[in-house]
Amino acid sequence: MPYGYTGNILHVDLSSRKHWIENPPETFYRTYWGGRALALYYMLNQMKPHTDPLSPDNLLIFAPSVITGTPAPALPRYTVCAKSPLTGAQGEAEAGGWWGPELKKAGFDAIVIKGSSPTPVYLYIKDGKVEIKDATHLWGKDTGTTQKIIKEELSDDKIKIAQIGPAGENLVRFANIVNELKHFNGRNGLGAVMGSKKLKAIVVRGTKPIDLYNKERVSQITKEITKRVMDNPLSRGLRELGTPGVVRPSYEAGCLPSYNWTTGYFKEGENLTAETYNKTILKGTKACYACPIRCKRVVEINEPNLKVDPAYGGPEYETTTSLGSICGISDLKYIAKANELCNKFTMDTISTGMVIAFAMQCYEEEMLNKEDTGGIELTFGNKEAMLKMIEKIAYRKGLGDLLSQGSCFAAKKIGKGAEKFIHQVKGQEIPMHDPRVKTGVGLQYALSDYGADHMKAAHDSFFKDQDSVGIKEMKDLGVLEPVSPTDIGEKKVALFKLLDIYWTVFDILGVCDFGYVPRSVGTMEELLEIIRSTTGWETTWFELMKLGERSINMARIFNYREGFTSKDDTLPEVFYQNFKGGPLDGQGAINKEDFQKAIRLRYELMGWDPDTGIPTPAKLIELGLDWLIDEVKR
Amino acid sequence: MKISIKLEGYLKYKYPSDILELNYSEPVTVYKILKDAKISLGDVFFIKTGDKIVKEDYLFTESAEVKLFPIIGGG
Repeated sequence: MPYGYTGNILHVDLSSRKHWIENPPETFYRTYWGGRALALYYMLNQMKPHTDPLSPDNLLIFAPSVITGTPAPALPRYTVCAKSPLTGAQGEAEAGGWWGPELKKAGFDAIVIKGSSPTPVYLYIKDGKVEIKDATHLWGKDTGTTQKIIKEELSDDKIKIAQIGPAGENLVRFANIVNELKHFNGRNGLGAVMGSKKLKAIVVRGTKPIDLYNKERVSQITKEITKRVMDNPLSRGLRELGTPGVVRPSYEAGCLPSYNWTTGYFKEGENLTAETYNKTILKGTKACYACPIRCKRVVEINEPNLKVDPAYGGPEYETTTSLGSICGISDLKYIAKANELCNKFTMDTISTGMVIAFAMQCYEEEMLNKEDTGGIELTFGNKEAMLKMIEKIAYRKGLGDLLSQGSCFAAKKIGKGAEKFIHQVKGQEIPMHDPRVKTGVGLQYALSDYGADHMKAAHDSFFKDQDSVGIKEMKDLGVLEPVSPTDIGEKKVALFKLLDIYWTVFDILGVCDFGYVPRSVGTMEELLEIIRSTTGWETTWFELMKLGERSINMARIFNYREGFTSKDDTLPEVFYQNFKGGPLDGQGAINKEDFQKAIRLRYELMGWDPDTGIPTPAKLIELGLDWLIDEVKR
Repeated sequence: MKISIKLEGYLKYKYPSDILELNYSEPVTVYKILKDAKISLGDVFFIKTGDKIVKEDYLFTESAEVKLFPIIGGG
């Protein structure tokens, strides 16, 4: 067994209530490593095409990586994969926190779950022992209550719990999974897959440290990075402002997504800035496992009619915008309350905000009326209405039932041209970064295997100038020349091919994007050295980039099997139009023809057919995926 | 003419002061102002003066306040 791994992959069949342990050979680990690459291996081998995502046949896979749980900084993350009930494509979401490291210490490199239990259950894994326990008494409970009950009944305060709330149980198609009440596998509706299996939670507890090849070296690099984190302005910005630090530049420039993307200009933007946040609702900050950055916000509100419990963390940038300006809401206290509700119910805050904003626009355009909304005045800016709608979605009541299926489904049902008010890629609502000021983000929205996502690559702004951190620190990948954030030419396409693969490697290895270049201080060389010192493998960035590329091709083939084509690699129409209002008024439209050329070039750079976007047999052979060639010959 | 520079976001932590003032006797570009203030273009995403977002080649002909916003990424 290679260092860094436990050598054990846990398989659980909830239908038969059986479990068994697989001990893969070293070549398996060195080919698929962990995270999404490992998960896709099982999804492609064990799932039939066109499996209903909410059926027992969908696999639900929890996978940290070989370096998860080492003491090195900012490596706490783990992946959950399944076929997504929101998109119908490969579904994937990474979360930080403490659960991933604890699973490794409990003796497992991954959990592969199939089947469905007839009654609610939870998995309890402690130091290699696995139990399927009754969860009937937990079903219907919110996340805070569930955590409290499980900790009491197991008499262990050190357990780590990944779980779903009522939205997951009720199969809301953008329900997520949470660990420790505030670290989310968000997006893609993986919480609904967990709900369909009647799996309320996975509780882990482990006491065995990860076996490292060179513990002293890992410790030395940890000290070096940690020391630099304290002084580095980017890391300090994350610690002191958190991700809400993105609000001010976006609002002042007029590209803060507002009023369901009808404008980037939000007059009350000052109310949402990190500075206002810090002065009004911030209680403190928290860190994930072994992370010195401490970017996580904790908020508390204690007002007679509005209370927010700090146990649920605090809104990130995406949430501040998706439950704020995108719904025309500028009251941070209500946004914090909405965030708390989403966290208790386990609903993705981006999709929740986007479906509510969509409904608000439909209401204002008279496509929905008070009868449809159950008497709610669902206008932009109505913060009480937003809170009510969140609850209705989680429990699938009235209009909430329709919205719980995602904006694509809801628009089709509403008809009357409502589809022009949705903004999505592959069925997933777009995040809160505007590609008109960062075209590479747009490329990633379009090409992401799991629908629009803002964490598919580092953003364009880190590569805009010769002095930019991305240009200075990523020469090992051949990133040598700056490209303007709004350029959509050949150099941008080539750059984002590399950045896509680079951050895919991060996802596979459970690396936090905020810990290493270009977003923070850990260097590429240091990360490589951590991997080498953990595993004993003399790996290189060449091997790691091939690993990333391998998983991208596996996901591409999974989606091809499900019927996705190049027509699904698109951007919402709004980005082909100029900004309306604010400092960028009349500017910004991405040229559609240029964008389509960029997508085609990206296919070619990836070794995919330029017309269809399907990986070529030669590319699959290069990546050791010859076992998938028959899939592309169909 | 006086050009007042206000640094936002993490730029406040990178440079010694979050407000800088420079004096010029003739029109000056943003590029030259940043160079004189020893602020790296690689750190700056948006440059705002008044209600306008401007590029590095924007020419100031009278006193003004310039806000500099840092590069931003996902999160």
